[in-house]
Amino acid sequence: MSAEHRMRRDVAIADEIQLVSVRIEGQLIGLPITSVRDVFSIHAMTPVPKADRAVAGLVNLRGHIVTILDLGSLLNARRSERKSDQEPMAVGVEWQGEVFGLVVDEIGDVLSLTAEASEAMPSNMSPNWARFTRRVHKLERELMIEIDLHALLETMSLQAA
Amino acid sequence: MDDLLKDFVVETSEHLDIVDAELVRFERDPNNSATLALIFRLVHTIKGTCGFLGLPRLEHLAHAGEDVISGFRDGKPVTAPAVTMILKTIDRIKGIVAELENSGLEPEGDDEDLVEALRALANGEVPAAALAHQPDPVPEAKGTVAFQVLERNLREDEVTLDDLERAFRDAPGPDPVLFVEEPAAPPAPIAAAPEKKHAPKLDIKPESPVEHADSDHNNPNSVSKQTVRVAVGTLDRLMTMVSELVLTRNQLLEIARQRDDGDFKSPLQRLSHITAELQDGVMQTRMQPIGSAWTKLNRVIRDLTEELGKKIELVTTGAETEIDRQLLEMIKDPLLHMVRNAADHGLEMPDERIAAGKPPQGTINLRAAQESGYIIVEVSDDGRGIDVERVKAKAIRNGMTTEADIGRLSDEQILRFVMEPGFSTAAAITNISGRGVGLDVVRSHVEQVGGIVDLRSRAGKGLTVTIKLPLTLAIASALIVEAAGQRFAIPQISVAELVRTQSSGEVRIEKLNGQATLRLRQKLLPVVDVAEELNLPRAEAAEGSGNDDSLVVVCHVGGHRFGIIVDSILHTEEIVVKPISSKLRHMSVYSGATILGDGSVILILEPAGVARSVMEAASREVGAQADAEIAAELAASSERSLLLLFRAGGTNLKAIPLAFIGRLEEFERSKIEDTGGKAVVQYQGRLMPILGYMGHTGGLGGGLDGMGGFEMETRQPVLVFHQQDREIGMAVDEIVDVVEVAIQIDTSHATHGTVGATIIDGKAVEIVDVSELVAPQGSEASTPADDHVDVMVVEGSEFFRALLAPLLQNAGHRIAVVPSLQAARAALGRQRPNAIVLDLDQPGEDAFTFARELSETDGPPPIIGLVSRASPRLIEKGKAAGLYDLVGKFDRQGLLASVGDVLGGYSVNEWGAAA
Repeated sequence: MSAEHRMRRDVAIADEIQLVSVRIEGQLIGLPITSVRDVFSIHAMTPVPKADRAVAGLVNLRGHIVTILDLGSLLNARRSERKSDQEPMAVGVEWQGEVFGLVVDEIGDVLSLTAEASEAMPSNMSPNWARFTRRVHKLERELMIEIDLHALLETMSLQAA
Repeated sequence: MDDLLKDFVVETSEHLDIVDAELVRFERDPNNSATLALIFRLVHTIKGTCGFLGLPRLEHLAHAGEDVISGFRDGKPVTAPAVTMILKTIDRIKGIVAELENSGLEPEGDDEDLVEALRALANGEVPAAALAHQPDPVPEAKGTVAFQVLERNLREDEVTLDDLERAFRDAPGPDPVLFVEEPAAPPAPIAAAPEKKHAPKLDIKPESPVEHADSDHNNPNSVSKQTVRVAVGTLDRLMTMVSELVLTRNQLLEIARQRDDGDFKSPLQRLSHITAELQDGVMQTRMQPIGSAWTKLNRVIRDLTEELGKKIELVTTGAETEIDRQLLEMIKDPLLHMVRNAADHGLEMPDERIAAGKPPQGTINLRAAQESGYIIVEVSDDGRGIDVERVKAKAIRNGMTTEADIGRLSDEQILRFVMEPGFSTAAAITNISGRGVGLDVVRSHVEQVGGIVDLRSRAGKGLTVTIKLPLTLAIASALIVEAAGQRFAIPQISVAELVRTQSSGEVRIEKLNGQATLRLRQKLLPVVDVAEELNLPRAEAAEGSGNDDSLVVVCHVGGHRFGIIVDSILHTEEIVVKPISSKLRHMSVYSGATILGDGSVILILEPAGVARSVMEAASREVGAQADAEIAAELAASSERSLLLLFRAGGTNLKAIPLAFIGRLEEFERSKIEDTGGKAVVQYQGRLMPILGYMGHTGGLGGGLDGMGGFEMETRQPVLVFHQQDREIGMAVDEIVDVVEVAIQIDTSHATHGTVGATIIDGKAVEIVDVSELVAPQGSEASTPADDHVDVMVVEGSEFFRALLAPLLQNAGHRIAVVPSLQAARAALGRQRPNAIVLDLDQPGEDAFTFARELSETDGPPPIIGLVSRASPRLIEKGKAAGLYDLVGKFDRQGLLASVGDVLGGYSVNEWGAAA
């Protein structure tokens, strides 16, 4: 996995969903590839004092200022401090004309899945996850939660306001 | 077509496109108030401009549309049919504008169908019928030339040679209607410039092919195509790139200096040179004299003069001042608003002006200048100014602030409420302004470009609105500071000075009740520590010595002066301001972010936001200092008041405060009749009882007993008291004089019927107790009842208690009277009056403290302060303590009006209402 490889932005075939797989606190999460712009590692980040705890900071990404959000905090799943032995990785997503970087623990492959092999949210999931989960994909070895990015980022703006 | 109309067509087309897009977005997301505000402003601007240009059809349509949108703003549901109707209206407006561009005339036609439907919508009905048929107005308008529409606005001195020629050009071929109308239009200019007129006419032949080609292209975009309109975004990008280039060059130069590499030197120098020229060049393309935006205003003023019936002169200075094109675009609308405001609300009618001792013609001064790296644009009028009291009342009523908070604000800060969105109400919608889009538009526009708006009002003398703008938008000068190891940028525009403080020096930071304060040139300045404000952990080293020797950035923002403590000031840098993420925009401490020359991202601090949390506390502390002086002033001010001296029943002089007497009358002896043992007189069509006549003294006892029995003179002097809705007379022997004295009442000499005695000119004068005269019959003067009361009177002096209670009861208020602050506190525990009348001269205790205390409770009743004489100092102090009003102790009307105000709701602020 290279530091700055660009994801393919193929239009998903009707019954096929393409998800970028990331890992947070061990949980496999899928982000719809249509909203992912790129993947980058974070070099120098400027913290934003007093901001929401999900705001990790600001970075200079090729001359543009990108706001870095901590996906783990957003999902309320952050249990431990991120390991700082390596530069954190972020997924660049576009939302309402603005680019955000989502810090994740690990970035995996792009998976092509079908909606048939997925199920709706199991009812016993915590409300925090339930709000942002679109569906759950049953992979061979584990389950992957497909995140509703729009709901996630929108909710954040509500919290902020 | 004249320039004004051309501008209008281009501008309106742009606005309409935006409205179109925004409306669609708004329909999907009806809760987005930002989108709604944008739509509203655009439509409002279109409406306003139409009004000035004399385009009744467009104005009519836009107005109706605005009403509907206004309804949305007030919370009406956003329905699909409603949005469709507005979109249809926009389409119709577009059609008319297209025709306007073609012919320079508004096509004839009728929009009643749409207007009806819109009205119905605005009133909450569903316009099913109106939606069904939509006659297209444009085709039927073709060929009809309503030249008068345009001519109405053409004044003799306005038709330039240019305009004339354009009029010829705009008429393709021999159009009989136009040519018949044409000569009638501007005879004077032709006469004025006959030679010039002839010369171009002779030249017309060779030019005509070109001209024909022009008019043949008579498409809707013809006006727009005459100039190359470069999108602001394109220029912006160009500017940004140049800025980045400059930064890169600087880095290269730095490296070259360190390495001292001869090979690089020469090409680098050349690069540097070219970069500088490029920067200049790009900047230059964006510069324009500000006067180009002013020409329109002359016309606007002329039209307003007519419309408002006022005499207005527009004086301009500094029209040649060059300003960034984009900035100019951004302040065009604000300027228009400001000038309209000044003409509409600021300047008075000619007769009012004469009455106020001003020349009948009002003057609006428009000034532009480049001062210390900024562009200053100032609009000032010599009108009535803004009434601060009314702004206060309105701000409180609109829930923008509370009684408690407003007391701590300076007049300058209070004035700024006028610029808050939604400050003005729809109380006075006029064609010119109103609807609450006024100064808030000005402010939002100006702040958007990093500028600052300031208001200065001199009551009765006029208002000055000052706009301070950066020279260019793309690059702002900023101070790079460091606090707790993190760098921040502070915009230079708000920085007044930099101060280094020393614990032992003259300039030092002191704690005033826990709040850091900077003593600078004998003035106290509230300061905030940016690291503390942002919850940044300080390094241990800085902890100990940090507060002793520190650096303070003194800022001046919106009427506030304050200091920001930083650890170090690194340098100033030209920064390219980038907007902050939508996820951080709610944070008032940051105004943006930028990338420095070394590639790092830093946050731009918003000084006002950083200091906000301490502003209130700071101003309270500083205010506390003056308390002692105020108290002294209160004690020193003697209780001067007007007393009516009279004689009745004996030779002793008696006195009643003039404020309590309604009128002095003389009745003919014969007119006073005896009905059932009571003396009455016909007064103002009613029977008025007269006390003190023939022994019928009624409730009057003691000192007045002796006055039974008039001298048999023909005329009888009578003091008339108002008692609720009727009058009551008191017959006296002789009215001696009205004197203004400092009363020192000795209440120990109070007898029945008097409240005490005082010495006037060396003679003892009894002060008559009028409470029974002016109190409703049968009711007790002061009943601190447990049931609900309207007004609580806190008055230490028995004399004033006796005077105030009946006064207020008379006016129909249920009152409770308490003799001290202590008693007041106890009483407030039991009951909650709607208002408190508080004598500020309280023995032993500070009434201001009491007022402040009270204002901090939940839902405090408004307090009306009583003073012997209201000095400006006291008024200021009263404001600070959150008092609603200050009234003189003997100012009967003032007190009643003030109490009435409080209980009956606040008066509407005229200025703000229409702003």
